[in-house]
Amino acid sequence: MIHPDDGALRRFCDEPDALDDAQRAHLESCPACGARLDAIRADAAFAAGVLGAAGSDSSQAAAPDDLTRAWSALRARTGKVRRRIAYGPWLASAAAAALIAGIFGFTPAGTLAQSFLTIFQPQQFVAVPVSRADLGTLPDLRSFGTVVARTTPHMREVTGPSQASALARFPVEVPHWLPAELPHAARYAVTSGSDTAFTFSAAKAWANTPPQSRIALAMPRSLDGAVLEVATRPAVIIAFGATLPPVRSASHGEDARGHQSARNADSGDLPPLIIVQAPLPTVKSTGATVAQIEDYLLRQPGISPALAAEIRAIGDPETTMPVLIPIDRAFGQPVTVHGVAGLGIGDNTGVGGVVVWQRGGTIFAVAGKLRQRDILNIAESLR
Amino acid sequence: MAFAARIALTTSTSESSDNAFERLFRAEYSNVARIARRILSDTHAAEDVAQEVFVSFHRLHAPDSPFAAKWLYTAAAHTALNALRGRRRRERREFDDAADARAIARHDNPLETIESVERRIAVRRALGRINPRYATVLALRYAGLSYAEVANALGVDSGQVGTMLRRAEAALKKEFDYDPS
Repeated sequence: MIHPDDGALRRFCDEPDALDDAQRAHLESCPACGARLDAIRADAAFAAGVLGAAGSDSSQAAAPDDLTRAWSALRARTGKVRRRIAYGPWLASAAAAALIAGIFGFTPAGTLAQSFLTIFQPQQFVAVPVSRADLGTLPDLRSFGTVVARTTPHMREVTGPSQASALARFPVEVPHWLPAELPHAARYAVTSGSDTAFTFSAAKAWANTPPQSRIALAMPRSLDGAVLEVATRPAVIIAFGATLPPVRSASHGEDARGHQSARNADSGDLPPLIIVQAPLPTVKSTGATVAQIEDYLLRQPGISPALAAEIRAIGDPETTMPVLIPIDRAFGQPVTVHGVAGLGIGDNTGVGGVVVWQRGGTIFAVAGKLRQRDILNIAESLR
Repeated sequence: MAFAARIALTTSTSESSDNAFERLFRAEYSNVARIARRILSDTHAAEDVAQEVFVSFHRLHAPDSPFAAKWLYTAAAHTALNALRGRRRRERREFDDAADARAIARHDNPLETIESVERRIAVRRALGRINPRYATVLALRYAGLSYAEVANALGVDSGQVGTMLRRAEAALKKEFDYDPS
């Protein structure tokens, strides 16, 4: 009779059926196996004692209230987190950067009705510091109207700048200086355009407003039914050093990726350097002005008075893009790139940053896990 | 016009994807938090880890990914182990230990509570010292996952789980015997 190994004996402690009748009979008659089983049981009982008591919980599911609270907390965070697009790891990373382009990359849809007016065309960027509490309570636009996305964004990897230029239909610029430690091999991708409409609805806003605030927060007549047309044209993403060494060990498989992703939840999945170029955005409206929309939205309870004041303080809302900067994690400062004013956003820990500027009808963003000075040098070298 | 940005954020995540993610969250949150709690011995810290894990998943993967559960489980264990070793968490634990001390002062049976606090600290230390793979197996199994679920999460054959668990428990016991403080 072959002696059961330690693993089989350990499982037998939890699942008596793990050994067949013959093996169980063997255990009764084999002093060596019996001794091993006793030792295994003792260690298992010890582990159960300390680990069972460790969390002082049972195996039950979380209480519904706790679950709802946890879900709300998560929604407050994921509302600001960009979902990846299902491509390879580097493209998924680049998709996060494409968010930058997405934010700035609104352009008019190809066939807009005559009645649409361009109401927003950002020429400059201003940092608006916000607290984490501010970010967590920003109103959800779906409470005020209906969003219809007419296209599904996607991204395509291309061979290089010339193919990217041809697909995106604007001349793509490439950096002529990179820090020595950065891999100089680049990968290029072009995002698709998108076309989205948002229709304000007084009825929907009414239904989503607490009864005691309905009068004070009522949507103005001029906004009810107004349509915002938001479209993006293709943007180009260039990623450097995208071939991150995978954290993989034998038989770890998917969990090794999980390890890496979770450990580097904030920045680890991004390549060391990403450059985004997108045509100048515009947002068009059937008549509602930026002032009207801002005035209405800034009155919503999710917007703190301080944040509302910051945004109102921007004198020319039609051409200035406020960029919300979470003050506990990042800082914003004016920078100059190619002789034009831009905005630099740095991570408070000093490990990364973004520089955004507009030149010749194109929005540029350079983001990386690099010193701000290096990011600026890379930005200056684009041509 | 920051709200233009909000439009993009709101529209680019489809309704169905949101619903699927919420379903996944509600189905797996308890498991994820429980795995982290086995390692951290701290409910609040474990909830923080669970949040972090779901945010990472949301960022990287579709909610209906076939590997969602196993990804979440192993990420919970790894993130909790990293938190255990991290400087900030250490500070937080010291703070929590101080809170534990205050709880002891209020408790009817201080001796019993002191033993419980000491044991929690010892568990964290021991799990932080043993091979991370062993710590992961212990966290998954003692969080209530079956042998098959542990095997699936770790990408190993079901027959290997007993062996891994045996070695992990022996390592844990040895760590306690070596340094019970």
